[in-house]
Amino acid sequence: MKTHRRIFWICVLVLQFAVVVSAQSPTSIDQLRDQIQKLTTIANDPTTDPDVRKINQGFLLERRKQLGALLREKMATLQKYQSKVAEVLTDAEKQALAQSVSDLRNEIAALESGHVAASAGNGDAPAPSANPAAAGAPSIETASITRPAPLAVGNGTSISPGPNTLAATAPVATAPAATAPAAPPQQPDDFNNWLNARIEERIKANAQARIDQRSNVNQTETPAIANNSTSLVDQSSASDLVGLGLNLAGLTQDNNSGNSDKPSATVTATAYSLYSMFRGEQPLDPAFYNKHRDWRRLSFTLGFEKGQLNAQGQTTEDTTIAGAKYLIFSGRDASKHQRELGTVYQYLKAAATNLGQLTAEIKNEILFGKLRDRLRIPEAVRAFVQGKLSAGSLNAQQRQEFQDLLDEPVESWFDPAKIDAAHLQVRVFVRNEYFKMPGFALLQQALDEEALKEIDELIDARLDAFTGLNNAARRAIEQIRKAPQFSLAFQSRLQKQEPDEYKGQAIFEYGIHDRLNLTLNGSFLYRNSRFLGADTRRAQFAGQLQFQMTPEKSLAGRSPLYLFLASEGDWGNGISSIFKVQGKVKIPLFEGVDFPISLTYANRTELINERDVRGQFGFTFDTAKLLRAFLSKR
Amino acid sequence: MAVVENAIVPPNAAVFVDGQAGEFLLYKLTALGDTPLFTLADDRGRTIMTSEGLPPQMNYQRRWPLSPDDDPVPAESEHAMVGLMALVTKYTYKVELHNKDGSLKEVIINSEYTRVAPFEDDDKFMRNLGVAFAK
Repeated sequence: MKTHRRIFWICVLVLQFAVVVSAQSPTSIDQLRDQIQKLTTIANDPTTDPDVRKINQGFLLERRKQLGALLREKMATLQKYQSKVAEVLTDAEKQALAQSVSDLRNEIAALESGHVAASAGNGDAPAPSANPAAAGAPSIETASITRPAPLAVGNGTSISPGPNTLAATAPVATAPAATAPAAPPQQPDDFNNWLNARIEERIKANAQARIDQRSNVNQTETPAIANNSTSLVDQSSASDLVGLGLNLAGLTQDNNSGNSDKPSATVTATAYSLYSMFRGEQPLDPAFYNKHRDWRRLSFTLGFEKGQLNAQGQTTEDTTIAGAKYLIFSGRDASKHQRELGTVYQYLKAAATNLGQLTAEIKNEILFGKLRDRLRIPEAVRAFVQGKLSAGSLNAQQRQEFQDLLDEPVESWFDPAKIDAAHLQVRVFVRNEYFKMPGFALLQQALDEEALKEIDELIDARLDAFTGLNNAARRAIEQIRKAPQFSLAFQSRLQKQEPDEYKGQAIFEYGIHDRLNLTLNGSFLYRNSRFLGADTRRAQFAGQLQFQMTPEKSLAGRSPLYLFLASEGDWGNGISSIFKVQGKVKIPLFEGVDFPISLTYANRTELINERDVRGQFGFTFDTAKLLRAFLSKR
Repeated sequence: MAVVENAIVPPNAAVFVDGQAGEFLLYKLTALGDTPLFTLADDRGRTIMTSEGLPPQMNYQRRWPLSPDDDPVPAESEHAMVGLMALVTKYTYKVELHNKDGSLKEVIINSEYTRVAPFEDDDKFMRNLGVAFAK
């Protein structure tokens, strides 16, 4: 059945082709447009049989070639006419004539980049294009709907499109919506971004595996003083703006009460976030951010623990958690790392200089050299110059310069020694035509393996400048991240039915290695009992190692996975010493939102001399990261 | 490279500056975040604009050429901007072509650069502009 249908369609197509050929003496531009539209409709129909599609594609390419030839012929006639009558036409007439030439040029460009069916046959203006060079580029043909596939080049070779070539072969406008691929990103599809991506590819191909790391030592979780915090230790700094920590529930039963742990929530805000809001300033303005960095040293925490039934069956009231933290020493301010940043600036300048030189080399050797004739750049330049001459906006000297340029051999147009305005404008015109869309699509198609190899060699010759910048940037950021920090904190838990707790704390942090961070806490805890003589005073010491388990790139859109190992010793009057160890994993859900889950073992609890194992989990929100994610999507 | 360019104006690859008519370029960079780290340099290794040695700020601006005799100005040059993203949330890079009287003739480049996950410490944006200057 399928075979019969295939044969039927092939017969229909062959018959259609025969009819067209018999009637083609000669075929007009409008007829060809009409035929191309019909054949494109079949090509874009997702139900079209693959064999039929293949045959149809051949017919379609043939029509495009014919239409391109006729359009170029018509454009040449118009241009000839344009130069003959330029002296006698009014400005409006000249403009109308130039528009006709421009329309033809655009249609040819659209035709050759696969956009032709958008306008063919219906008399509408063709897809926008400003690529006169395409007027003389018949040797490059593209399939109409081959976006993800390799591009077909006139000489029969195939080129895999680069990472930024999506729009180069965008589907024709008549393609059914169901088959249209996802909208391309806004990232400009131009030579600059293509070259950047190629440089990165060459770096990856040449350099050792990169070390990925990023600071994530700002605390967003509820403070350790909260009974059910997922953290045994506190960190030295808070989120730059506002952090929100939620502990939803315990995973295990509480040995003291028999109840599961209490849900809690805390909000931590830096004084900086409040100050910038009060002043109505953009908190991410670098000048404001750095000028008022001391406001970021101070942060406040406010939250609560939800009251629950205790062991006696009474409902306890909510507990208020309040605290403040002051960063006494911050080694992680970028301003304190001028030496590392000075090295970065040396490489920044080297990278910028080398990018300019590399672009100039590719322009001179590839665009103005190897591919000049293949892209029919001379024809494009002649059309550009004719347009300039017929526009009537040039003075006598400028007209003469352009006239002289046309009389010169083509090689001298691209001679860097020729620096009059006409030569400079021609070279700027060619760059903008082929280093931007839609002309860049033609350039990409024309880049054969030999040209790509040559470009890679040019890149490789300058690769040190770019890898040097990458390495210097990573080293500088790593040094900033590893610098020590020291802060003092005060926290309190205020409870109506149980003793209030007050905690003074010293916090030290230091980056031991790339992905390994050490945090030490020394605390004094005072419990103010309502009963005479029942106050307790305790000293606590806790330490935590934080390991970054995954590189960031393996968890697109989220932070890395972190593993925490912590221990805590608790000594006090009237109670036995308590020792705890904790393992915690912080699972990134998406940018700015993490899911910490911990398991804690204690040799005993405060009330019962019995081992205690409890699990906790919660969510953390970092508004600075959320804001950054939001800004990046705008 | 986890940096996305959002082109407000499709960026030009090259620009013709009519120095005889007094035209000039205006480079503008806006940064949001902690510490901007960027350099705009030409292909001769001369710095045109940089954040180096300046206190962090949100807006940077540089006219080029400062005068027709600046440096001296070559007939053709490449001006490449490279900005590191590690300590910055967002850059906006704009290049404008102005007439002698200071009025805007054309926006040559106007793009926003933001980081997208996966973040890397060496995230950066790079944009080159060919500049032809008629004297």
